[in-house]
Amino acid sequence: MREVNYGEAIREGLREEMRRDEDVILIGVDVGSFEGINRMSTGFSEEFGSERVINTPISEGIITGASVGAAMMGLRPVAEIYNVQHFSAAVEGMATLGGRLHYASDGHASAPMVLRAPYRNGGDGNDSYESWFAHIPGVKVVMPTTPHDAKGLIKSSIRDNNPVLFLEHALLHPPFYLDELFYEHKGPVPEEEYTIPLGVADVKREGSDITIVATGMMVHHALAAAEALAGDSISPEVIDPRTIKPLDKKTILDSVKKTGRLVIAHEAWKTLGIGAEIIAIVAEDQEALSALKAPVVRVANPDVHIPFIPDKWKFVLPNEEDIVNAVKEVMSKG
Amino acid sequence: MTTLSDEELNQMYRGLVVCRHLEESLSERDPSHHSAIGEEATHLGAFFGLRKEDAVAPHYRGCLAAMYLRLPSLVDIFKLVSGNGETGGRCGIGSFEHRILPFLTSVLATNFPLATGAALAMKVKKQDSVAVMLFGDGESSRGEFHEALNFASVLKLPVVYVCVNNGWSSLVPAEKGVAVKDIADRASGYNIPGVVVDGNDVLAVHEAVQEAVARARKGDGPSLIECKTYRMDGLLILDKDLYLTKEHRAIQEGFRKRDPVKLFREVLIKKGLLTEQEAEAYSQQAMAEIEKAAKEASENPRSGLDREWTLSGVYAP
Repeated sequence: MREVNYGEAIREGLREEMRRDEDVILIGVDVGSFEGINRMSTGFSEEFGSERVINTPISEGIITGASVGAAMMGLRPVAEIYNVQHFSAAVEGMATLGGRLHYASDGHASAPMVLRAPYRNGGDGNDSYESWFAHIPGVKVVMPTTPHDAKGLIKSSIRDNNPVLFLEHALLHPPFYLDELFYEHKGPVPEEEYTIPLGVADVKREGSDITIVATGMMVHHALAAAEALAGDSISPEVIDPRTIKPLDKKTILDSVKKTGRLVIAHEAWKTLGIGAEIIAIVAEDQEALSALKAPVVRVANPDVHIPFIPDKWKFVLPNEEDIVNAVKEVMSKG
Repeated sequence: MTTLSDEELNQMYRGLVVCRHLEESLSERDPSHHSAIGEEATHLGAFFGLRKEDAVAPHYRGCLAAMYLRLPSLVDIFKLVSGNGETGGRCGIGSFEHRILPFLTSVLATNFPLATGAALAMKVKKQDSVAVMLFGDGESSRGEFHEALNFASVLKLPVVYVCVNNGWSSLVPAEKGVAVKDIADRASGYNIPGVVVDGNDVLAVHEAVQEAVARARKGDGPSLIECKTYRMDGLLILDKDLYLTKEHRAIQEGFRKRDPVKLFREVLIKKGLLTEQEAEAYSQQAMAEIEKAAKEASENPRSGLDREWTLSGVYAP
């Protein structure tokens, strides 16, 4: 199968959906200029015109909120935000408006829109805000980790009739000005059309001794950790939820029932991160809870802000070694 | 000079009378009602004469005028405000069927993104429609106002922003809450027309909005219209305006003398389109219809709004 990089996979999905449905528009700062600061719209202005590829002022509040308003009136806006630093301005659009619309209108209106943004692109852009949005009824949160998943999920997100937050990992998807600092993540992507339903986890590696539920870049660190642990005769199962809301509880619970051990790895802050929710789900399930042989361990940002200067990130952001250590800790306890 | 026909002028007057009595009726029923008594000319005049495909985004205070113009009957108004209408009380204002944009939250100025986004959809879909939204003077201090006006101006969106300047933002007088004397002046920062009109003169409001609507329909972008009026019954009916100074009371009294219903009645009588007797008859008729509608709405609650309904419908299928 052909190999495509993560950003190109998203771009392909976006382009296919814009060709398929003329109500899909791309809106945001720079999306209609050059190739877009996040390189997502190369050639889009030429193909779809400035009426559907809309450059906006640097106003993330109105970009998000007006996308909800436009979605309410029949468009399917895909709003691009520079990076997650700007999410404080987007919360009102997603939480106060988008997430409420279908419920509040008793089903007479809905907000089929996607808010896309890269995270982990340096400084406070390293923050992970998925939990903010996953907390809101009516909003879905998607975090693809491979080119294959990214393409299938962006297509489903655009077709979904609800506001969807689509988080693109910047380490997999470098903005145009940061080539040297980042690497491009390539993977197999079919030529033919496909979609991936929201709310279905992917078992990225099967194993029998311990379940690692990882999101975002932690999926890749977990896979590397699993490879390293195999040398110690430990067989981890790596689950990528892909969408943290809706969350595929069954796949997680089935795995925990099988392995009896659980590590969760995410880049977001530990307190009330998705790891806390996953532990709660396990604790609420008699069978999964009874299957646990040892306490659960979370690998996460230890509730510390991420310093601006890159050489300090390693002290804050979790990595492969942290996951290896967490797995060994759990294995040592039972 | 108005282009409205005699019949339309009479309709407009009847509308003002109905809005006045609706406000009175709601004020009696609900001590937390945000009364728009004295401001009806702005709320009605702004939305009067729009096409049914146009979207209207009312201000929470005065939303009864939009409902009166858009909903099929007075009974529907009482059903909507009592939680038995289209939204089942999941949001207080809004009818998607009739293009009254919903009030999804009590966060002020959140109508700006919705109305501006609606206008964006109209433009992208080449629909020849406009969105008209009303907002309070205090809302012009929120970020949504500024982001929306700049965004709509840059993208030339078909939207008309109508400010109901009733002199008070919550419990703060406009002179202490807004840095400019005329909110219309804020339009210059966004390179769009900004005009001040007498908010108690229904024709002046209507004509200013219609001019802006025509401009928007032509593709020339948004406008800001400031309607000067005054709040007569407090933030809520129950607050009794205790915070008004002597000076504020004098200003309020001035506006009371220029009551919008009375002003327009005098205009129509002078034009020979209405007599005192007919005006009195309209009023009596409106009150009777409102009472009847309120009773009918309360006797016919929407069924099925049970626990199961309450817990469903968060996500669109």
